[in-house]
Amino acid sequence: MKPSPGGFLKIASCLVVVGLSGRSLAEVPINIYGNTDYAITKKDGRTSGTFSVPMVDVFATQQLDRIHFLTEIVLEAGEDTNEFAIDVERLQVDYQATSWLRVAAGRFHTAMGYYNDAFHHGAYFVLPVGRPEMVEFEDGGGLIPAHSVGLHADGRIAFSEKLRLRYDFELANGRGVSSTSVANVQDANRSKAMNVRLRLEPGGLLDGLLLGANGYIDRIPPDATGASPDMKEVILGLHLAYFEHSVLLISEMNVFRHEEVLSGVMHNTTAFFVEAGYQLGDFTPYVRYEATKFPTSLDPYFVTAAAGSYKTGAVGVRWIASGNLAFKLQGRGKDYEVGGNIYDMNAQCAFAF
Amino acid sequence: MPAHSTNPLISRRIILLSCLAAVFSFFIVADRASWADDFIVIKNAKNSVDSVSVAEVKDVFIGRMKTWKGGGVVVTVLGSEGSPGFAWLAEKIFSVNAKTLMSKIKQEVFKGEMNKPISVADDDEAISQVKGNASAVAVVSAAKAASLPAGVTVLATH
Repeated sequence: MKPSPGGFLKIASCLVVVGLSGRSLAEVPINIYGNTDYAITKKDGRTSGTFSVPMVDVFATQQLDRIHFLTEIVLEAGEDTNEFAIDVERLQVDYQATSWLRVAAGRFHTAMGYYNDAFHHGAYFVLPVGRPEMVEFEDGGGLIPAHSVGLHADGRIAFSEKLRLRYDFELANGRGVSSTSVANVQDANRSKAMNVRLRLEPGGLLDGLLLGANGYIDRIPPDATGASPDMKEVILGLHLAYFEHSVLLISEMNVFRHEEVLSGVMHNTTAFFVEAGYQLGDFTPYVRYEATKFPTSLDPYFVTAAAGSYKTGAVGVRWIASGNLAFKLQGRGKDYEVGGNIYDMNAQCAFAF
Repeated sequence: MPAHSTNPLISRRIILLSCLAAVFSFFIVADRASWADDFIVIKNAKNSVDSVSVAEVKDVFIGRMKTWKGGGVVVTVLGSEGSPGFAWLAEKIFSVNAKTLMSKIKQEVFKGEMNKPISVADDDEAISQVKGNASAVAVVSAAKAASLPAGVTVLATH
C-alpha cells in the first residue's frame, strides 16, 4: 500500500522528538534500516540498469516491564512515481502475561509460514536480495495477507526440554478489497479473518529446526466495480526452517483457495519456495527456487490465471561486512509458463544502524 | 645434480615458519582454553531460578525464553560485539562468531520476539544493571564474579 506522499517529515520529527526528549514517558531508541541497490534487468530482449534507494525503515521499540511497544515506519519509493511515501508497516503493543501467553494489538506481520514475520522490511537480515514473491508485501504483489490489523496471541509450551510447541492465533480485519490493500482503518465487511499457526521446535540434536503449519480463513469483500466478487478464502500452508551448524534453510508452501460465494466457482493457487545457504565465515553463498501455479480460470482477486504461473531461480552470495553492513550479489531468472523470461543481476548494500 | 635436491636455505625457512606457526597456534588454543571458562552468567539475587541448562542460556539471550519461572520478564544485559564476554557467549554458548550472534540478536529484536538488550560498557556496569533489575541477566568475567556485591549472584549452568 502506498499512502499519499507528504507528511512523513512530521512523523519522522515526532519519532525523533520521542527518541530524544521523551524521558517523561519512556526513552524509545530508534534504529534505521535500509538498502541501496543496483540492478541490471533483461526483459523482452532489452537490457536496462538502474541504481535505487527503495526504502528507509525507521524502527522503534521499547519495553516497560510486561508491556512492549514496537513500530516500524517505512519511507518507500514507488517504482512508478519515483517519489517517497510513508507506510506504517507495524504498530503494535504487546503484553507478556506468562511464558506461554503474549497478547498484542495493532498492525503486525501476519503469522503465516516462516518468512513473513521472521523478516520485515530491513534487507540486512534477509539472505538474498528481495523476498520470495509469494511472501512479498501487499504492495509488492505478494499472495499472502502480509499485514494484519487486529489482535494477536502467541506463546511457547514446553512438552520437554527437547520439544516445544509455539502457537500463534490472530483475529484481524482480513483482506482488503484488492490484494494490494490492507484494511487499516475500516474493514470492508463484517467478518473477521482468523489465522492459526502451530510450530514444533525440537531441541537436542535437532536444535534450530522448525516445523510448522498454518491455516487462515477470511471472507474477501467484493470490489466496487464487481470485477472481484464476494469470496471465501482459505489459506493452508506448511513450512520448515533450519538454522544451525552454518546451515540456513527455509521452505514454505501455501495453497490459496478462493470460492466465489454466488457462483460457487473455485480458484486454487499453489505457491512454493525453498531457500538454502551455507555460512562460510562472513560469507554466505545461497540459492533460492520458487514456483507459483495459478488456476486455469482467472482468479479475480489475484487478477491472474494460469498464464501468469512462473518459476524463479536465484543464486548469490551475502557478505556480512560488520554488524551494521551487508553486501549481496545475486543473479536471478524468472520463467513464465506462457513464455517470456526475465533475467536480472542485483548488487545490494544493506545497512542496519 | 640429484633429481630431488633441496636448497638448504629454503628447508631452514620452511622449518622456521612451521615452528612459528606451531607456537602461534599453541597460543591461540591456550588462549581459547583459558578464556573458555573465564566468563559466567550472573543474575539478580531476587530471581528464584538458581540454575539453567546451556540450551536455556541460549534461549534467554536470543529471546526464546521470555519470562523466568518466577514470572519476571527476562532482561538481558550485554557488552558490545567486540567485548570478551560477548565473544565468549557467541563462541562458547552459541558456537558462532560474535558478528553472527549480534546479527541474530538484532534480528530477534527487529522481529519483536526479543526485548532490546541493555547495552553496557564493562563488567562493572553489567553488575550494576543486574543489581538494579530483578529480572536481569548478564555475562561477566569470572574474576569480577568472584567478588559480586550483595543482590547479585551466579546463575549456575549445567
